[in-house]
Amino acid sequence: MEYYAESLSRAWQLLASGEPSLAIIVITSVSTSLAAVACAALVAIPVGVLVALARFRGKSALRHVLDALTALPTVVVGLVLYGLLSRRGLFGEFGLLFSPTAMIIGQAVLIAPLMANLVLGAVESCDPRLAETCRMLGANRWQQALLVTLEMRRAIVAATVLCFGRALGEVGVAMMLGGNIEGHTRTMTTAIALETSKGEFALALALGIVLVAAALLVNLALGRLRGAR
Amino acid sequence: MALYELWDVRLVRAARTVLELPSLDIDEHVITALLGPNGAGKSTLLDALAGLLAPARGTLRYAGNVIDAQSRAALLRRVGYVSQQPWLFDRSVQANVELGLRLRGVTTPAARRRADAALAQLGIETLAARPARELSGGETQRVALARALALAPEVLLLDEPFNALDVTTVDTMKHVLRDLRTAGLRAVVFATHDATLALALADVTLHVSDGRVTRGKRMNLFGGAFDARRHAFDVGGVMVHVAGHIAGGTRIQIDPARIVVSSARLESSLRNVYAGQVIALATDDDGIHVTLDVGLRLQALLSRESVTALGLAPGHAVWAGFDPHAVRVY
Repeated sequence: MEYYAESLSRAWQLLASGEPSLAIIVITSVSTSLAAVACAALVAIPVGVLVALARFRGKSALRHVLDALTALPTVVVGLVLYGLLSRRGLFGEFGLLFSPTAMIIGQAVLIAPLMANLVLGAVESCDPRLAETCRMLGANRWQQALLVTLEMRRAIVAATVLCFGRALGEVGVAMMLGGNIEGHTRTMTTAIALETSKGEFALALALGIVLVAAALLVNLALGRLRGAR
Repeated sequence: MALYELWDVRLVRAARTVLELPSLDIDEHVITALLGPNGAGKSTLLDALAGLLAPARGTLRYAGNVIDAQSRAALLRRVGYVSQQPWLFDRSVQANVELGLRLRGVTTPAARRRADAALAQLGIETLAARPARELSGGETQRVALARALALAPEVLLLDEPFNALDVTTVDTMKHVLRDLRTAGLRAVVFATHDATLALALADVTLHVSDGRVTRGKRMNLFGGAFDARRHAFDVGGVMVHVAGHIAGGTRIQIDPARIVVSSARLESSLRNVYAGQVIALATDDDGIHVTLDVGLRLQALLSRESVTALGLAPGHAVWAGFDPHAVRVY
């Protein structure tokens, strides 16, 4: 217990000192996760809205696939993308492995199905009068999709915030595709794993505190979004 | 002339046949009420008239043209539809009213102008800047009507438009509806479960019940104007005394069961007494409907015994009387 208290006190000191290496790790984590969320949103939001509004054969099969992808283990995503991005892989010539770009791609692939699923669920559960009113006002399919997206904006923002939280907290993709290179691809989660194994418990704990604070902020934002609905 | 013609139409919702309409016309330049209890299929019929619901069988014509899968979207753009619980978008009232116009490619300044005019028409221009989600039920109803009117539709379809409204607002809406008939609309169709409203506002009442639609009989309904000096309603020169304060009414209805028919003039408390003659007799489940010409074409509902005792037959001279309380003013 004393070990714990001692480490915690050193962790606070590290945080208070504004240690540059610590700041770089936090910035890398936040920036890659934000970029991953932006990339995923570009695809996942339109897919979620359009699949929810459209009626087509195989829709339920597609939903099952999305559900399965949502539960995909992060190491499996890391593994598949590692194969594609490594020197001998399909996209090896771009030299992306162990770069922030590779981490962004990995995290985007990981969270896109979750985001699409959340948006799909939100749009499907919205008041049926919304779609009917769009039709009554003479909206075509595209105008209807746009109106529904705007109307469900709070739920959609909530979905992206939740996905940001997942990207920030995942470790498998960041480790396998980023490589945990100091000052380059070291994120909070990979640093915690590394520092703990090195016995640098205080630094790991300091990063853990930042991560928990970030998770709390994300939840606070979600709560506010849900309350405002 | 019929604006809508329905022939052998079956309307189905959630795999259940809601209405069977062997033949139904909805006339142009009139206000039509769909009168019936909740769940009778009034909204389903309105949906079909709007082009939101395709008939499972039969033909629906609008202005002479058959409405099919291709022309249904075009029909939707020609009608203004206000549903029972209208959906307003999560934006300002002004933006809601402009929305339909913007979707039709109307420029921003033109859309603003038309939205302003529609809001002013309903006397709710002060709501323009308010967030739509903060409105009361009655305000929501009126904003939805303004949104429909802003589109300058050919037909206005209203589903229970007076449900969420208070008494004063209902009065305003009655005036608006009457004005609309002369405002370039080809028809107004509204659904209601309130027979009084149907009588007050509609020229034609269609009864919707048990999956069928039947044309209502308009018994003893007369148009005219109130003469304050004599406290009576002037129906084409025939004065009808009414009870209570009724300024502003434009129609009266006389309860057929409360008309007293006699072979000689009665000394009685009845304030409305007229001499005339019997035109026709018709028997139905309620009794015998005696049609009288007393300057007005009156229908009295009498028992068989009364008709036999008086020996009523077409051509007989009679007196008809009723109390002011037998008259309802709309």
